[in-house]
Amino acid sequence: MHSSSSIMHSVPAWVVQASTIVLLFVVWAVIAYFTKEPAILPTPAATFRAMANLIARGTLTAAVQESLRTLVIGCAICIVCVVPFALLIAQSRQIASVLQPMVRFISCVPAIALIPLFIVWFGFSTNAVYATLFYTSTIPLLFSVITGVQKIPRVYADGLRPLGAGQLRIVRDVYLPGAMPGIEVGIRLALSYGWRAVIAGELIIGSSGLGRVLAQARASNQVDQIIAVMIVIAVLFLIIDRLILFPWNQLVSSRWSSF
Amino acid sequence: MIQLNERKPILQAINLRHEYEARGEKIVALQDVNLTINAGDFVTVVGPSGCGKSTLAKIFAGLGTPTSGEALYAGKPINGPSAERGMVFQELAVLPWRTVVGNIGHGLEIAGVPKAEREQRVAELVQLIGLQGFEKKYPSELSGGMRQRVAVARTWATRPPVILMDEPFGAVDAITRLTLQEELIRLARATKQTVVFITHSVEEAVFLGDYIVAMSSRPGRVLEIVPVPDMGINRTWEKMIRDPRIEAIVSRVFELVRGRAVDSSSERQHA
Repeated sequence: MHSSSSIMHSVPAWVVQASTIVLLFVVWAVIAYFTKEPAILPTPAATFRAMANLIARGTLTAAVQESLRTLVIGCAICIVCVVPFALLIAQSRQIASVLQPMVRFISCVPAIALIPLFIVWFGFSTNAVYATLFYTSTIPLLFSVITGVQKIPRVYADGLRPLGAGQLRIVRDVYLPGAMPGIEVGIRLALSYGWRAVIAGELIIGSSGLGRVLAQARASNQVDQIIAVMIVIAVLFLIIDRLILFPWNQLVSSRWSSF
Repeated sequence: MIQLNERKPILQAINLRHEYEARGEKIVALQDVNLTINAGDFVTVVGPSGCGKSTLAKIFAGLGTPTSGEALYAGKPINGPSAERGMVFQELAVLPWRTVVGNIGHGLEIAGVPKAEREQRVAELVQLIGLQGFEKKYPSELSGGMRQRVAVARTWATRPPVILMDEPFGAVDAITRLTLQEELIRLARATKQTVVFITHSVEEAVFLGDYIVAMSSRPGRVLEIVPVPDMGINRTWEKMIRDPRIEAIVSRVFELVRGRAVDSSSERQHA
């Protein structure tokens, strides 16, 4: 028991993570090999062939571009609108305490249940996908930033006042940088929830992007394509998370760590 | 002491009273506090926890408002914080996302001191507090004692006429505290600023102060003002603990602070 745990510790974390993914593929391959039902569960090889086909036809690359564009533009708008608003609300405990239960109540309705409404309002268009994304991403972002501001020790602001700092100075030098960990968590959540919202929205609304490719593959019963797109969706988000969000998180949490 | 009385009063508390509510109960933190502090004094305020000494510092800083009575700075009522009265807190108030020099120079930045002059003054202070080589470090990369030095230097940098220190060394270990105390004496002597130093440690109060304001436990009142003989350059921990006069002062202050603490707890029912 002890020796096995020490072996686990000596292996780098990414090797462990990579081998679990390999294991997943092996299990999948074994099951697919024995069931011999490609219409229900295609082999990994068939799936990657389907993926190569989709890429060769240009369908996949175009869809990836569309979905990512929706995610990035949607989240950017969301961040630009929500972060300043949240910083403002967080200044007053009263406003925050009135607003929070209200927003929490609204957020009980999952975004997917609102898609029919968005289709009625915006038609079968990208705008309806944007609405789904905004609805999904706004709430975690708003709450993360508010919590981030409320977590800033009072003494940071109190410490600046006897140095001659006015309220504007304190917002700029204490609340804005102090809320960084909250903003960081919020943006991370907004992107990861947003990504799911974009795919779900595209899938149901069928306007464009990876979700539409999924919908089309289902309509023509091409399970290999469905799984291929699923893999692309997962890998894309892993890349965004590991290469951009994770390093940022490391920087913020090392510098902002309260001692 | 005669020399002290010739100086101009810089901080005054007149019939100060401060009360607040906690769990539906009215608590009197300060009652009938009358105190005059002259420019250039190094005053220590000592008392048991909850005697309102921190509240007194906050009122002088302008971060708190008395329920009744008046707090004056240079003869004028204090309303709100001002760069003329700096404050060092017990909690770590330096900003974790600013480097050592970024934190020390913060007050100068707020005051609009030009960059070149700011950098020069910060460099002097870094030298004075012995943090050379740590200029670009963030507070999380420093020890507790170093962080508190940064906090002290940040307040000193703008050279406010009055510096209020609320148990600034409460969170550092005993050995580091001695070093910080000696550095503080050096710093205060070099800059001749008025320092009001709040502490619950009698030894610390006697070691640092020109005179000691001994306070009673809740409601906080000034019991006695105990002068400390001028030690001159002999104001080191080793010299002071061997001086019989200092020993007598320490026991006197202990008596005051502890004696009243027992009294007032039995008096509480009447209040």
